[in-house]
Amino acid sequence: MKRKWFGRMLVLLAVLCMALPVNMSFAAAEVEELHFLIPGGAGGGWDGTARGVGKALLDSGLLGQASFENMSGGGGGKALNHLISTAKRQQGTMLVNSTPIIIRSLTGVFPQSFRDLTPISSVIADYAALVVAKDSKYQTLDQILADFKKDPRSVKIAGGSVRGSMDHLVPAMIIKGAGGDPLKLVYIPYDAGGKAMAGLLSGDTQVLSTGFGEALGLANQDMVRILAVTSDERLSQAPDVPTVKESGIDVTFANWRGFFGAPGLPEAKAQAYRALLKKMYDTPEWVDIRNKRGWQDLYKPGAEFTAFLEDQEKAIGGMMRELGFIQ
Amino acid sequence: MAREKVGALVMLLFSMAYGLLALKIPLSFLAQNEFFTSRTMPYALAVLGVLIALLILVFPTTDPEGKRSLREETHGMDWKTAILLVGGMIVYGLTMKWIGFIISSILFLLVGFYILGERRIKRMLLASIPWVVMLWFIMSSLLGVYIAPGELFYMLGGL
Amino acid sequence: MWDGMINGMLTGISTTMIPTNIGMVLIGCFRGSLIGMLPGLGPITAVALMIPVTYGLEPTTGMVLLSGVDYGAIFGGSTSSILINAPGEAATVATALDGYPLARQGYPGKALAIAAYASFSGGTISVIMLMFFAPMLANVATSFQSADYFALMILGLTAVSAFAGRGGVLKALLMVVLGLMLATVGTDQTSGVQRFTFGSLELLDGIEFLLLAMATFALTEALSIVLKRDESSDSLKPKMIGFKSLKVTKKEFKKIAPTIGRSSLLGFFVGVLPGAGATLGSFMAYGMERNLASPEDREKFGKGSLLGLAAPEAGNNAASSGSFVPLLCLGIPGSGTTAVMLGALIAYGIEPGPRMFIESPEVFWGVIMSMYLGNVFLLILNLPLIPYFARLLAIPRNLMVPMILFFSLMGVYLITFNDFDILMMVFFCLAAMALRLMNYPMAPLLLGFILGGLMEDNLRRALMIYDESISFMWERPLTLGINLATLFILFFPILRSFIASKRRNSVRFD
Repeated sequence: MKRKWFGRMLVLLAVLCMALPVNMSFAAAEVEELHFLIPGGAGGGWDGTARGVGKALLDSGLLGQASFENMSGGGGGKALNHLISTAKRQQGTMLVNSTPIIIRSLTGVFPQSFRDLTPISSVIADYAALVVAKDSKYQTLDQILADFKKDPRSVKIAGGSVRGSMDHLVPAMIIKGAGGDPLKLVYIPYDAGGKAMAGLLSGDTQVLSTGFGEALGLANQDMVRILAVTSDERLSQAPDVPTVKESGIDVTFANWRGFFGAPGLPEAKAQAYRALLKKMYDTPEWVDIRNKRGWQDLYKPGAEFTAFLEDQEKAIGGMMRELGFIQ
Repeated sequence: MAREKVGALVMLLFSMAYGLLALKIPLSFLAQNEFFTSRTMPYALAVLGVLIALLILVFPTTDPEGKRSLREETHGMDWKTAILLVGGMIVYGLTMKWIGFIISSILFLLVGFYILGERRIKRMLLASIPWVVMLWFIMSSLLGVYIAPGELFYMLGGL
Repeated sequence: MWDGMINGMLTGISTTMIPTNIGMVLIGCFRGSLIGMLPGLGPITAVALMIPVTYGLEPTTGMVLLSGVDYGAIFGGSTSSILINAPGEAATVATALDGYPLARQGYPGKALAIAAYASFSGGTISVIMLMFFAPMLANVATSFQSADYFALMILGLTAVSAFAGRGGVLKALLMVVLGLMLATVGTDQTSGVQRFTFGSLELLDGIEFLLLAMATFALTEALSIVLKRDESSDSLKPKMIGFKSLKVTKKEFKKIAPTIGRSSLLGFFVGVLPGAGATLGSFMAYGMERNLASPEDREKFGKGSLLGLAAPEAGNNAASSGSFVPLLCLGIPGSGTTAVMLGALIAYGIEPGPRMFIESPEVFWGVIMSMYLGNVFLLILNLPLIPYFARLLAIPRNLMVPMILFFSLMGVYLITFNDFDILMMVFFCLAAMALRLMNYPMAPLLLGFILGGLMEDNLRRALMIYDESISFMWERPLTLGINLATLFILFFPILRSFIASKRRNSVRFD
């Protein structure tokens, strides 16, 4: 008898636990409702960006309601297809994306490109960085490049994604900028940034090409050293880390993350979304989230965004052509 | 023919087809002077598959279970129901996008029950609607996962 | 060192033992195990979906909640594996190998109870390891290079003999090869070219392990019940012996205790490695136990063996705790779940790494101590629910079969929201059904599939690093050690029969 009672209480407890509320705000908002389309699964980089931005907008009362739809598949191509084919009813939808959309349309993974969408704005950037283990013999980027020029096989550079991805293209651009032959670069691909970092710490590889944000935490713990970052100027989180430009190599690279609307989105709506994102930057809620995650603001709305994307496409496309990834 | 041998024959053909397809894997420019390329592993697997399948074909079957022929094994099996169920799953997969999660799931369950001979309407409804609605509720309301409604409703809504 | 540790534990106890945190452990474990019980939905989804809730909480409280959800989901994942052969998540696929047969033989309650005890022990043992050796183990995590991972995957492949029935080594090997073949579908993780995708966007990301496991285990099993007109008392309902009974005899406890101990240790170490994971941990534990079992016990593997059920359950829970070592001590995520948790930690402004002991001891020790508490809670909460779950099996066959199909398909669909996945599952289900009718085992296929990608990627990385020479196989002491272990396992059965025959001879001469 007693046992039955206990069981029932447990079922009740279960229901209560599941019902832990997800809070909603009801203040008067700038935009009533937005739907975020995320081309990858819960927990990934795209997911974190969309949910982070969504949360800042909700908490600051700028946005009334938000929903988040994860649609993984085809390296992001599935969600892109979906947004384009159902464009008419997707006027309240923002698709989150980042630099890989450019790479994947260049290699023809999916036939569409950012030109088939309505650019809203870029929101944040993560710069690329070259990282070594704390007891590495390398102290500066120049030493690595010097060794590379002597014997390209002696400097192997690891990264958290396949050949021809950002992690590969950035060191290739740097080597080319320094007058080396990027075709001679031995790039060691890992299937995730974390695993590539573990490879660096285990001595599997000597140099790692990764996102600045991903390396910052470990650099602060004195486990790794960041030798160079691909931003225009030194970053406030790590003022001691020189930029690639300072070594006399004209390479800058930002992995942007931003939002797109459906094709044919009325200009008024697109403008409203751009204004909404612009307002977000000044809210304490955003500053809090951005600082905690180590993001850099990068606001380039509308036409500015398109121009930026075209520039990046040119730079990446040139490198990919040189490495033989596209004809 | 022992059913294990039939399986080995099928796998032999499959491995050969796999090996032929592996010939068509594109090689990137950078991989040209590498010795382990994207094709190396598939080639090795195709060869292994062919070899093992041949060994199974050549050696006598030791497992008495595996000695029976396919016909003996499948004798008296309820193919009709199974095929109907598989058909149901395919239709379910195809309708999901159009009529949405809730309706297609309830229909799939009802049709499934019917195929398996259940005819008590009340029981069928009780065993389908609450489960589907509960799963939908847990996902969409409690976990905050967005489940898209069916396309058909957008079309009917004239959007 | 010991001083610091004791202080740390006291800090941990004092931060965990406040009502909010105890409450969070309770909520986390319960929510996790309920989500874990739904087929398909595993710890990654469970943890990722909890992130928004934790934003408003204190760092320790939030992390306690998230880790509770994580190991709770692994704990609960075994339920659907055992009851309907539909793995709750990837790490509990191996649980179905013996758990489901045991349930079908009429002991669903007992099977669930053993899974719960094994999970509890695996979790507890690994928390103790975590408490004492976490910093040291961090060194283990960073001593494995690509070459060692490759050797480890080969070692993992030796588990295949564990899945081979009588005279079936060749058949099992053929299925491993098929699994390896399926693993090559999709984007090549090294060169980025597409393999066997037939130009389709759907196959670009490869085949999902869970999808394959659901299709080959749950769907195939449900169809075969229909095909064979299996109407044992008109339902899936097992014979009513000890239907809801959780009773495990003392003798059985004694028997599974060493298995649980060994599997927990192995699982924990595999979990510590950033490139391995809980799924591999559970399969390796299963393989090891079968290799170590006495010939009579070995016969029972795959047919409802208690050892075969306890091993993967202890292994996967230990591995999931083990993955906290690289997360907390190095700030490196070794799995999808810990990657999400790393994001949460950073969002709290805490940087995990060697200095976390000093800078945020309350979070570090709080999480560890809460895991201890959480494991106790999970056991107490889950045992009384078992009879209710076991009763699910009493649903008549004509209602049960469509429901199994529905929950299996949904387990995959509700993660990817890709309707093509449903069709792909039907395809694999049909192929698996055909192989099953021809008497080929499915478990080695899954083993080959998990190991396939890791094996190829690590081999190719090692080759690039060593300038295309395979000298790493013997030059690195660690790699050499693992390779020797592989050889030992391969020749162990021969050695054992040799020793046995010798002993028999000597007895005769006495």
